[in-house]
Amino acid sequence: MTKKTTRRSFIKKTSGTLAAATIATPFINFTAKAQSEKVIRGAMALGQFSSIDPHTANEHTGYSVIAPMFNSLVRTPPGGSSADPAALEGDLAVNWERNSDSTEFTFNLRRFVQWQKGFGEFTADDVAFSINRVKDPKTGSAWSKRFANVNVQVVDRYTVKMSTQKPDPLFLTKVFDWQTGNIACKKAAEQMGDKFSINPVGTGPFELKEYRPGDRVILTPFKDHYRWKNGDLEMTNVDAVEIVLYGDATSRDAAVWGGEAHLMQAATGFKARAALAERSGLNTWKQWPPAPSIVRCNFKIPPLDDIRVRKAIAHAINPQEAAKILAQGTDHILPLTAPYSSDDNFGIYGGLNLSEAVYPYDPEKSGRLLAEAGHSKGIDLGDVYSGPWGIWISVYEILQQQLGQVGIKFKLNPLEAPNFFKLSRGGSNPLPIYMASRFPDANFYLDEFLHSKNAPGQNMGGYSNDKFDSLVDSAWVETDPAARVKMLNDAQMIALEEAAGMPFVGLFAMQIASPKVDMGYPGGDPAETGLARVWNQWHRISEGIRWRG
Amino acid sequence: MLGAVTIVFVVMRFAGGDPTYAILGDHATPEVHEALRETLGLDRPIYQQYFEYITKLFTFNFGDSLVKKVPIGSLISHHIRFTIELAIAGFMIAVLIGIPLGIIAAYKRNTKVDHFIRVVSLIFPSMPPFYVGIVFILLFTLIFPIFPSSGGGNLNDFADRMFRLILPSLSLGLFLSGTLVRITRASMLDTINKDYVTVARSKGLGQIRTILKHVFRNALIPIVTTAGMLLAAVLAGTVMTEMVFGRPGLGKLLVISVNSRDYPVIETILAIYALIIALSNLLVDIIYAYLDPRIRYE
Repeated sequence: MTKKTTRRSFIKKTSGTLAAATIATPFINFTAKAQSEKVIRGAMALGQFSSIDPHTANEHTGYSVIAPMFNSLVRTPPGGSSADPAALEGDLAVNWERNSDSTEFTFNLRRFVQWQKGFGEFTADDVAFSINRVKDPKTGSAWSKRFANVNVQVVDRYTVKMSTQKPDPLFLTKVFDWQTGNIACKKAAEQMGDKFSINPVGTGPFELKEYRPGDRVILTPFKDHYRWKNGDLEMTNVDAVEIVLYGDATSRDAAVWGGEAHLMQAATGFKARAALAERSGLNTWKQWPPAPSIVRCNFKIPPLDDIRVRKAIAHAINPQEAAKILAQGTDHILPLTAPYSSDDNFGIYGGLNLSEAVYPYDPEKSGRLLAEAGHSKGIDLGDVYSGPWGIWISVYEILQQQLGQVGIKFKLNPLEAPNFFKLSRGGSNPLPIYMASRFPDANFYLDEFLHSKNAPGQNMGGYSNDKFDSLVDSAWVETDPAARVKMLNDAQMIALEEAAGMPFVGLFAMQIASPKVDMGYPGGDPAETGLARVWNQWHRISEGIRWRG
Repeated sequence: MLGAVTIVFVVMRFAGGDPTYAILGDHATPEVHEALRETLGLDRPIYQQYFEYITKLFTFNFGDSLVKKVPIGSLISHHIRFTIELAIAGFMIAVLIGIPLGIIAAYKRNTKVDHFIRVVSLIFPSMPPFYVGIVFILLFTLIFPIFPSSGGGNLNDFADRMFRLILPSLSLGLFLSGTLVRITRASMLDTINKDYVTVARSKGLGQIRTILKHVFRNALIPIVTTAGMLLAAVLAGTVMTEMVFGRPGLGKLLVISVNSRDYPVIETILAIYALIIALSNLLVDIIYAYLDPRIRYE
């Protein structure tokens, strides 16, 4: 017997169906969109990028957002960066020459390279404009001084010559794929004025579609990108790359484990994340170069000005134990034997390779040194400041525990970045630890963190040694690679002998990626090799990136 | 308002830190930092900066973000939509759950239903929205992958935006609903034994009609007062909720700006919050007069 449809039952059924459809629509939309779109989403934590200006963005991680939009004269091969500065390859420059004393560099530029957004052809004028933009203090680039003594001369439409006052064997690292090397469009910058900072125009494989400050950057493929147009490489099949900022670690992780985002990086929680990745079928790999952490003593704060106390600290710290705790059974944290090491694990150019630590872990010797310095009852260093980042705080907590065993105490104060920088750079931090990777050449690291010219500043311990400074300065201008490496090694030994920077642990960040993403690194798939050589500290998004399947 | 913005200005200037560190990062030399401080006008006396700030605020010319280099007006106008959506949805959920449950609890007082509602009304307010949010994310995006874990959705796609609003608004609304349950129940019980309710019942009026028309209406004043105060709690709750769910609202922008000491952005957002709270208090006063004609403002 069939039930008769009354007006009431019809209205009931219809409204029920409509309500169900209304509720279901977003779910269907969401699922359908997720299945059809080829959008690679990168999940970044707050603070990993804050600006998209090619010359002022300052975060190493933020470089991953800018890099896909730009090219530079020379570059590190994507995913295959080398510690040797000589391994840089041509990008917008087809080739280059330098004079015998490395004071003049002539770049022959690639022809017919197009700017994004229809701004025409790239020429030597754009190179001169970009270098001068970084150099101009009004631009607000952190690196303006790197070009202070560089003169740029446009020889013709496709040739540019740069000269320096002193020999500069590392000059190419000023014009490679980093903020100082990004070549921006002169015409676009002149047209847009101040707005160029938020509407950058480059020649890279991806162009800016939308920038939502504090939320996300959306990039879409630039079909006229020279590597695709020349036929060097097949154009990407990706619809867009979105870099999204997450305010909370749980939602960032959930986005990746749930498949909503495809790329992220982690510096803590290695064991849990590796297990989750395995369960979710995600790929993980180590990122090179590492971020070393050295324990620096503040020479301006007694009793740290006493070498016996500094050596007591050096003997009290146990890098092996610290690495074991932090790595949680993985190989993402390794103990250091030198401030900037060149052994098989670290592979830093000009780094120091020591088979044995200068200050082996020896708490008894540490106690004796303290007693000798008149501190047999121990020392209270007062307030020590850490940056707000999880791994930094963990490193400090282990240091606190290790030093506490020999009677060296301090109160740990994790601060937000602006306060941490202000206090530590101002010389108020008794034990400044700094965990950051730099261009993998020891010259950069030693200069920034231990050279007296950077105190006050990044040389937060105020270390000053004329011989050390002289060796680091000489290495900058030394054209013989072997002599350069020796200078850098000797400088490190001086810093070690004075216990100015005690090696602690090195962090190899964990890169996590969905199997749907093919990074397209010419050197091989990091999911298989377990290592990506991307010195910019996040995933390197380049012209080779593709969506699998 | 002036008091609130002045306090914000003073607190931020004495909080320590320096926006040039957010702009230049850890690479620049002290001289470069100093030059930028000068360019941004941060080297000028505090009183000069204060008067400039007040002038800009009251002429609605907020200037540019120090760090993001975009006009603050456009930054706010983009982010505020996500916050308003979340605040309204969270508030509506709190009201739609809190008031009916409070009425039921009062109506079924001292029964199992009442006890159950009272226990539930204690659970959610005991858990801050960010905690509930994290539980929801783990539950509904990983274990049962129904909802997206984060984001505010596409501004041009209403369905997408509403879909992404469900979990954040629930975690915010549930947190606030407990207070409304308890205040509604208490206020209802206070009114339920009044003479006019007995009169209504003796006239043969049905239970539901008596409860809704005579008890609830007269119990509304404390409920509205509480709901008005909850608006401030809603705004505070949006900050953490937006952080957890990655919603690009004013709360998330505020946290980012505090971390980078982007003074003009922080000050403008907090001035907007102060204005919203002042307006909501005004609205509550107006509703009082409507609900209880004995209340009149000269």
